[in-house]
Amino acid sequence: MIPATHVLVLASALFFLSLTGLLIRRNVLVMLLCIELMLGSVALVFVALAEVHGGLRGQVVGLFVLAIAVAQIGIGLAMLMLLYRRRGELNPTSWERLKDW
Amino acid sequence: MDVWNAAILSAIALALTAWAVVLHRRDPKFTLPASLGAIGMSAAAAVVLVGTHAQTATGVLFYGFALGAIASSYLVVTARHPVHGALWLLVAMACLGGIMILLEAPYLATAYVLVFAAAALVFYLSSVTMVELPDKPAPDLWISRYTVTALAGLASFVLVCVFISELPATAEGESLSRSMAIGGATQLDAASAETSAGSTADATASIGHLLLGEYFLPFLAVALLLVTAIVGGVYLAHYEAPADTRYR
Repeated sequence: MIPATHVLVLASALFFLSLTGLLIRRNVLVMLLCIELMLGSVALVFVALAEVHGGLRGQVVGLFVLAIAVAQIGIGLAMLMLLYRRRGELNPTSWERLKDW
Repeated sequence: MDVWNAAILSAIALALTAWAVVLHRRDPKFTLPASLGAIGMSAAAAVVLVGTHAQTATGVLFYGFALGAIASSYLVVTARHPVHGALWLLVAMACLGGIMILLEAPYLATAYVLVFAAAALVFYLSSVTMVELPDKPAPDLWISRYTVTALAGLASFVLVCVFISELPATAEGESLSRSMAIGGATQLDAASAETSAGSTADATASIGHLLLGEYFLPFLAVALLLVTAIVGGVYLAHYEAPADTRYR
């Protein structure tokens, strides 16, 4: 027996824990992982509310979230490798001056 | 919302805030007691939750998965080495998949675990091997990280309150194990577990019908997004940096 409130509390806890990580960490690899976790918790909200309201529409949107997460990590890692080749470090504050390129 | 719920929510919010403040205090003399306190607080909240709400195996599983998900995502956020973070992300995604199975979304759970474990993490780990990881401490943020963490903790509490106040009245006390599948009534209790395989197939088929019917335009948009990602990845991989700006 799972009350809907508790699933939503869990999802928001995960979301803000990973949002905190995204804001605090200065390593782009870990920041990408935090974004993945944020998307996962959002998908959990969709699944839980699909159960509350009935039907499968929330699960369909969860699939879309999954596709977006995959596209994000693919492009994000490709950009990360490119930026790393230019600057030689993973700290995003060293990538602020994009206009120099 | 009863008193227990309020106590649990404030305990979770306090634990989150304490966790967040602890994140970058690497001094062990400070980190260890605060981490133990936060973990103990959330464990107490979990014990209360299991005691008051988990009369069935589904409830026990849910709170176990929830504790695992929160603990492993905490370890993702605080991981010193990105590979450790990636492996803890795998654990967190497995816990999320378990919760999704409990919420009668087994297809989505399978997709998440497969995609994250098999595709994204392998890609991620192979990228980690190509970079040289820094070993010096990172510089500060533009505002104090304690401000950031306090804001995040406060925002989580506000969001939880909004969630609770916005929920439909029927959802408050009702259990989620009720059946919701379009393709037929499913009951994921232990008594009718043998019938859940067929209804799972029905639910998956219904997802397919929704994807290719009502949600066809978003489906095409997502397909376009994925093609764009592929083309962009190929373009970025083939891009040659000018020799004077290239690192080493």
